[in-house]
Amino acid sequence: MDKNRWQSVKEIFNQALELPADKRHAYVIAKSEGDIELQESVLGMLKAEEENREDTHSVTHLISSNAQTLLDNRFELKPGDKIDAYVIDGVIGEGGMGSVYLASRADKTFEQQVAIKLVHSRNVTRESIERFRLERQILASFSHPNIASLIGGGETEDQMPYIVLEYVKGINIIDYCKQQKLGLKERLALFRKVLSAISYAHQNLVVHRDIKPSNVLINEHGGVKLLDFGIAKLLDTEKNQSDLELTREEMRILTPGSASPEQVLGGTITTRSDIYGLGTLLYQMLTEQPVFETQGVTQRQVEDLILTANPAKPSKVCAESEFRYLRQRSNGIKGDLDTIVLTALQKDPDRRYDTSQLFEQDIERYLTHYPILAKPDSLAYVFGKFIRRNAIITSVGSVFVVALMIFSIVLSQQSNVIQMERDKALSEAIVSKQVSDFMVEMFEAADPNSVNGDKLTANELVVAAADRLKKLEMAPAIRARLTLTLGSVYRSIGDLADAKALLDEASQFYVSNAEASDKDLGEVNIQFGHYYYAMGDYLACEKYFRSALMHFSAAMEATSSNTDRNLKSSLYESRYGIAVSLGEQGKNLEALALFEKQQNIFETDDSVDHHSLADFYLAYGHTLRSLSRFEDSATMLEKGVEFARKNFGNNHLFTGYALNQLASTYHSIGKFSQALPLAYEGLEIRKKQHKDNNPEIAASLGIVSRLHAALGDLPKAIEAKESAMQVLADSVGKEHTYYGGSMSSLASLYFDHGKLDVANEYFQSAEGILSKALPPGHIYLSLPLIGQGRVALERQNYSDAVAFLEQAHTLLKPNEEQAKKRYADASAYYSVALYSVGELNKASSIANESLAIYGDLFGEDSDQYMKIKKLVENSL
Amino acid sequence: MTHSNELTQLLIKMGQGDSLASPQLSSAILSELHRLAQIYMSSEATGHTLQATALVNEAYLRLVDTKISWQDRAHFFAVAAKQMRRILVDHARSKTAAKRGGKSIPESFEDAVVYSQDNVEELVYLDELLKQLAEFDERAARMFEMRLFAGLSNNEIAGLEKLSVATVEREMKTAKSWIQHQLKENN
Repeated sequence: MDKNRWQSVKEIFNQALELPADKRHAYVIAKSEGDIELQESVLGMLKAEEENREDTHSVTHLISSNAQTLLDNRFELKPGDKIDAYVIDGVIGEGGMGSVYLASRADKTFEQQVAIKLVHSRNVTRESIERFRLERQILASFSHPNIASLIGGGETEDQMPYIVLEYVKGINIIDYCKQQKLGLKERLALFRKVLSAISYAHQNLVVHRDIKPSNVLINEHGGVKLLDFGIAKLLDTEKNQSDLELTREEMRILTPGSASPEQVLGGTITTRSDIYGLGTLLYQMLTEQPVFETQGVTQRQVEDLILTANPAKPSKVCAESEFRYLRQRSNGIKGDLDTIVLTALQKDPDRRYDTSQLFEQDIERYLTHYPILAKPDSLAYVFGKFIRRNAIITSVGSVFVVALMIFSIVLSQQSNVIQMERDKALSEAIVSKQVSDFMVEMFEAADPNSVNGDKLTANELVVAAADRLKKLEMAPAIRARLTLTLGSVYRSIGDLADAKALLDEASQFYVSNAEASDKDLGEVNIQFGHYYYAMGDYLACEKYFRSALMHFSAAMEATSSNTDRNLKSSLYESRYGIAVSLGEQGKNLEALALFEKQQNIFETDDSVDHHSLADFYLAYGHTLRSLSRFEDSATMLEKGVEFARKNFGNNHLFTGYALNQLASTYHSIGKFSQALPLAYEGLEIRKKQHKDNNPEIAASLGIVSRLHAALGDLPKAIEAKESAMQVLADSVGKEHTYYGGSMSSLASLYFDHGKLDVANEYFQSAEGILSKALPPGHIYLSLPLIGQGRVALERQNYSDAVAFLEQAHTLLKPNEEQAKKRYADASAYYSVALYSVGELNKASSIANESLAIYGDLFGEDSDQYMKIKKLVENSL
Repeated sequence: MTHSNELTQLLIKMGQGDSLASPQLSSAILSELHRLAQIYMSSEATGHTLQATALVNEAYLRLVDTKISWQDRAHFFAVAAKQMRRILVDHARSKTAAKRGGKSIPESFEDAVVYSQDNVEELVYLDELLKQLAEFDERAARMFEMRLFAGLSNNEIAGLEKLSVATVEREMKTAKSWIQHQLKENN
């Protein structure tokens, strides 16, 4: 532009500015007289002028920000500069505390590049040097695969401290997720690695304080590396508490989006501050958005948001995303993951997860469809979780499976849904959506928050659901589906009569409908199988599971595709149901055959989920124990424990269950001291995971008690047993089989302790409870009978002893195979009683029978064998 | 370190038309600005964004007897603005050169979030624009420099340039609009 031209530009520009805004354009065009360049120039300037009138204008900002950059970089190292044995290759990053350079060995002895972190010389203060020293000290003590490791450190010639770190060549975790288009599960898997690194730091009393995407890199091999303990804090030393609080300068370094409220306020920093940071990270991993928008907002505004604003639910952010894959993910995040993330992001540190392990557990629980811990109050929630799970197996004492807990529910198998609505041609998706909506609505109705604080009980909830189901207009296919579901829910809460009515109703629809598929019929049969299991009618249970198996097999053949996971898992569930019901009928050998046949399928087919496989190991191990194949049982259960530890972690209920089972088998083969720590570990897991009294806790206490008794510590054994009974009284009530069984065991302990009166009293009560709770002839009834017989023997009341023990012996005889050891016990005492009343021949044959079993089970030189042998010999 | 009295004298001489005083003053100011930049951030008092003008102001307070006349004060800022511009542009140039020459590095250890996004290229371009502007409107470029790099007010600039405030305002607005338009075009 020459001066004349500039003069014209200036003139037209200034004249135009005098005019009202809407007249300027026309004026400029008129004045430019066809000189397009001139016209464009002036119009552009006018536009710039209008845009920036209100603003602190961008040129000012440009200059001040460059001044800032200048200050920050005045002391940087340049490529080729040397530090110690390293030569600088370039800058990796610059932050408030210092700069990070990429460097390599000057002598080229190693190819490996390193990262060198150097304090800014403008920032060389006592604190910053102390902090560098601290970072080095922290990292030197660390060794974790997900934490970038320390290589060395020192001081430069100008006494500037530096540290040498593992150079992580990679990209930040968020970019990685985006780039690789990772799915939800994969993202959670990555996040768990971060959790593991943070847990490790916390265990070493170090708080990271600056968890954010750029500090979590994914290297070339897909490994997670946590970086930058530059403002980390040691929790244990007072010195560090006082000296190394963040200065205001350092506060600025915190990424506004990742700082916790207490960090913004300058409050006490604890491990929970990292929980918040982890929350912000997970939030971003799920939504690809920061918790709070920090772009174009002042630091002050961001801080206000952190202190007062509630973050939007991640599922909502995803639902509103411009990207389809995020929108699709929204439903998977809705509910649990929302809760998990928002719990971590609570303003009040006390309301966040206590520890990163708990955080991790909840993610695991989410992944394995267990109720997460973060939202313990809502019944609707817990209930909803219940029915989503395919099958839950729990154990109380030696009882194999608690009937109440096995579900197989529509929501987890939505693709099984009917296509029989001829008129409307409903798609599977529509049916299952309506079913889900209905269930969700019901659960929401039971949310204590939505019913003025009055919690609905599970019963009320189900009744409400049934009532609503009656009133709603809906397609018959959907109604049948819901009826079936509700029936299984009724069963789950123990209302078996109503469950039966609903299952019958659903069954009628399917059986009378020619369009009903094998899948539907299989599903009906499975539900009946579970129902009869709960009723204790194992024959009927077996029959229905077999029928289910038949239908599912037919469905499988009809699909010709071998990939329907739901169908497959239904097949496995049926087979598993057959095996379990066989076991309960005492047909352990048949059950075993089924387990053996299925082992290969369960271990190799990936449509078998972890829970099913763990169930399988444990049920198999249990059956082997029932068959007194203790060594095989131990092997299988050891496998189960290992599997559970690996796949569910050391804090998982399943692991607790597996440990209990293994302890029980170890008990059977006399490995008492090996079993005791396992039993205690199982107990601790269950106590931790069950907030209230739960029969599982009693089961663990039961094994602990048995082991103490076996190791000769009767007071401890009695104490554990009494705790167990208290738990049972509070959970299942005093009329329950478990309570009766426990009382019988307690009586045995008192007996062993020499307190015959107490023992006898308890044996009598136990018999009373059990004979009411169990069908006649149930083997559990033998326990108080044997007990009372033994008391009578001790009291030399031989005719009573013979009466009790004869009953027990008779009761156990048909179940000899199933309860070998107990039968042998009863026989041994019975023979002693018979000797005492002079029936020598009978006594002798029964004694030999008993000894043969003991010899068979434990060997003739075993303690057990010798003990009984002595007992029998003494009575001669 | 040059004594503040000496600097004040230099300023007064310069105000009286002694052009020889100018280089000495410039170098004194330049070194003071560098020194300030070094110590500024390590002082406890900074928690806010640093402005180039604040730096210049700081230098003024340290270097010059504050009882000098407003004209001499304005002279100081006019000189300081040039130096400030030079420091910043030199730095920005070296950074852009390093960027072009350096390896592309995938990820930073620490976000430089607190600091501005790196806009060194833009500053180098701004410098170019100011040079262009000086070719056809030297006075506007000078005023612009004083306003932006040293934070002189329109009143002070009017006094220095012996113009009415209204004229300064109009000229500045024109120059600013042109520069912003150009910067935007460049983006």
